[in-house]
Parts: sequence; C-alpha cells; structure tokens
Amino acid sequence: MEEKLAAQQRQMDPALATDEPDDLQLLERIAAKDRDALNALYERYITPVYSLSLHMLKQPPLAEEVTQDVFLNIWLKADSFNSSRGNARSWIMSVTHHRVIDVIRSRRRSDTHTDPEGYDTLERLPSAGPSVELQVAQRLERERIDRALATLPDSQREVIELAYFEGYSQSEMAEILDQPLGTIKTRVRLAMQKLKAALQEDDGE
Amino acid sequence: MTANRVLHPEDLLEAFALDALEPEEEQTVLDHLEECLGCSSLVSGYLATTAALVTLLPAAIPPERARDNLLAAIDPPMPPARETTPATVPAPSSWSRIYTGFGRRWGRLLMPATAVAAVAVAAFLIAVNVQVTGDRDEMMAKNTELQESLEESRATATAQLALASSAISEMQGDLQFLQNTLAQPGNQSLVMNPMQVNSRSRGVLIVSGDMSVAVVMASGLEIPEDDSAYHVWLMQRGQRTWIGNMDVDEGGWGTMALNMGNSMSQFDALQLSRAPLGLASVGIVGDLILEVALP
Repeated sequence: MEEKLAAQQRQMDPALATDEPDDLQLLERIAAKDRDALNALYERYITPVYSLSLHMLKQPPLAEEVTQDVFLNIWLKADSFNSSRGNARSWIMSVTHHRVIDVIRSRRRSDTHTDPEGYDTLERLPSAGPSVELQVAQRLERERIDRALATLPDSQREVIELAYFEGYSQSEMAEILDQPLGTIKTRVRLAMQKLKAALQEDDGE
Repeated sequence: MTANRVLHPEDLLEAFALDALEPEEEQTVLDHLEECLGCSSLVSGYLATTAALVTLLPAAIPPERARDNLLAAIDPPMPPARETTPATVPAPSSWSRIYTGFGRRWGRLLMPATAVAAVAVAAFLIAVNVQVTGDRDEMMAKNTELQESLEESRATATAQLALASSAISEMQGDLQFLQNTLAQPGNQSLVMNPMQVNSRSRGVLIVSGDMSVAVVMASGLEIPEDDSAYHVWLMQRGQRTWIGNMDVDEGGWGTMALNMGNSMSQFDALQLSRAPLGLASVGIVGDLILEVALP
C-alpha cells in the first residue's frame, strides 16, 4: 500500500520523485515571470488540462484554445495562488474546469448543439506518452477513483458525471433528468460528500 | 458574537466545487469564502476531489504548436526570476482573487485580453496623467503670463485713451477757436509767398480785424524729418521772434493759431521756416518756406 500511495503521490506531483522544483516553487517563479518555470509547469500539467478540456469540449481546436488560456492565465495570475486554500493541482484543474464551463455554457446559450454521444474520438487521440512508472501510477489512481465512484448510488454518480464531465448546472440537470431541483441538489451534496470520504478512506488504507 | 450569526452556504459548497451553481449562487459562495476559513477548507477538499476525477479520463496532449503558441503569447521574453530558491508563498490571496480575478466565468473568458488591455490602459493612463500634469502646469504659467500681459496692455490702453481724449479736447478747442476766428466779418486773408523757387508750398494767413488773433494755414509742405519741424516767426524791423512749432500732417497740410492780443500790430511780417528741432528756440531760423507781410 505504501508503494501505491507513493506512486499516486508521484502522479499527483511528479516533483516528489525527482529533484525538480515542486508546483509551489514553479508558481513562485512564474509569478516572477520565469518562462522556464512556465514551460516546466506546462510539461507537468498539459495532459490533465488538455484531457479535461478535450473531453468536455469534444473539439481539439477549442480544447487547444482553452488550454492556452489556462496557462496564459497562470502566467498572468500565478501570484494569486494561495497554498493555504488548497494545492496547486486542485487550483489548476479548478481553473481549467471553470474555463471549460464558460465555453460550454456560452455555446449552449448560443444554441450550438453539442452531442455527447457523437464524441467517439477520445480513445484515438495521441496519448501523453508518459513513462512506464507514470503509466502505472495513473492506472492505480484511476482504479482508486473508480472504486470511490463505485461506492455511490447510480443516481449520485450520474449527477457527478453530468456536472463535472458534461458541464451541466444543477438547474440544467433537474431539467434533463426530469427531477425536482431540490432532489438534484441533495444528490449533488451527498455524492460529493461520499466521494470525498471514499477517496480519503482509500488514502488511509 | 457576530460570527455566530453568519449564515454559511453549506448546501452550496459541493455544487460550487463542481461548477454546478447558478451565477448568483456562485457569487454568494465566493463572497462568503472571502471571510470564512471553515467553508474555504471544505471547498478545498471538494476541489481536490473533483481534480482527482480527471484521472479517469483518457490521457491526451495537444500538438506541440500549442506550447509554441503559448510561449509566443507571453512574449516579449522576460528576464529570469531573481529568486529561484523555495520561498514562502506570496501574500495569501483571497478566494475572490482566485475565482473573481481568475476563476470567475466572464473574468476568465476575457482574462487574457483584459489583462493585457489593463496593463496597456494603466501605462497609457500614467503617461497621459504625466502629460496632462505637465501640460496643466505649463498652461497655468502661460495663463499667469497672459494675465500680466493683459493688465499691462490694459494700463497702456487706458493711458493712451486718456491722451487721445485730451488731444481730442484740445483739437475741439482749436476748432472752436478757428471757427470763431474765421467766422468774423472783419477778418483779412493774406497770401503767404513761397521763399524758394519752384516751391510747392502755399499758405494763407487769416488775421482778425483788431490783429489780436490769427490763423496760419499752409499746404504743399514737405513732410518734416524726425529731427526737424516747421516754425512760425514774427518779424519786427529785421528781428525774429519765435512763436512756436506748426504741426504738419502726412498730406503736407499744417495750421497754427496765434492769440497775440494787440501785440501783433507791432510786427511787420510773419515767416514759416523749417529748422532742426531745438534750434529755432535759440534763434536758428533754418530754411525759410513762406512769408507774408502784415498790414
């Protein structure tokens, strides 16, 4: 278990396995306008940032644009990161998700149709080409998330997926699922609380 | 304890981490997180949970040009950071700085252009402010200078107006005198003779019947130089008495009124000469121009 946790931690923060600067150090250097630091952070987070953008937006050019926006914002606003409010990875992915949500909801407002079922190119996209060690760590982390999600009832897992991966708000989910808004809100709350607890419990094993 | 009465939007925190709130609800949470460490800690935990969900997605990377585009977008190259060693985090930022300045939807949507525009506008405003301040000081100095010049001009104009008014009064007096003199039925008109061959100068002396007053009028006079003037003399047995200067205008026309009382009868001629300024008063007659014998 310790080996698995170490691998997970390396996957979460590759700097732990090397002499490379950690995320906080990179952000400090980026705040001082160090291009090399931005390049290093890009190398470290391009895969999750672009993967999330591409999965949610389903259009590679749009995902590239969003990805560039995210890193450009990091370049401009690195000094706004507060480590006491969370780790850098959570911050970067939160920023990415917010940015993608902006685009998705803007497209929905302009009635541009998005067909989640029509997106079937994900598996054919080029992989990030990580090292074998990192691939193993990623697989273990994926299994950990899967196990945590498996503890949720289908109705709760559904709202998590609709909200996070498809970008729907609670009101939109209530309409899509034909459920009262209060019911959706309750599902979201319970789902997040259980998922968080399940991941923490898995970490503690 | 005011803090105990604060309403915590606990039922919104989970959806906040999923970006599933409506804009108004999201703003409520953002405002609350600025002041509530407890809810901030809860949100941090939920954000770590949602960030972990990305692991479930198939890994994908963009084309290499994306990195090139990013690095090109942050040009011009900046000098390396002076501090590269691990250090404390910059001043703790608030949630609003992360989410309002960075994470808010429209803010993030417009962030790159807005940030660049903000820097450009700030630089522009600073430059304009400096320019405006410099221009203002210069304009104030010019304004003071103009006011002083205006005061000086006003004083000069007032003095000139007073002089002109005085001159007009004097001319009106002269005119009145001439009218009174020329309108008398006992007056005599005497032609003044040129004293030089081919002279264009002509003159008339109008003298009252009692010889107490007279008016000399001459035309065809050359415009006197700055250092010379026309003078009127009275002759008495070969002796000249300087009476005064006669003004001549640009047309070569000059007049002079004489109010001599009964004394004019003792003189036997009147002469007009042109002499250097200041010399006639000491007896230098200069060039004789016109002469008339008195009755």
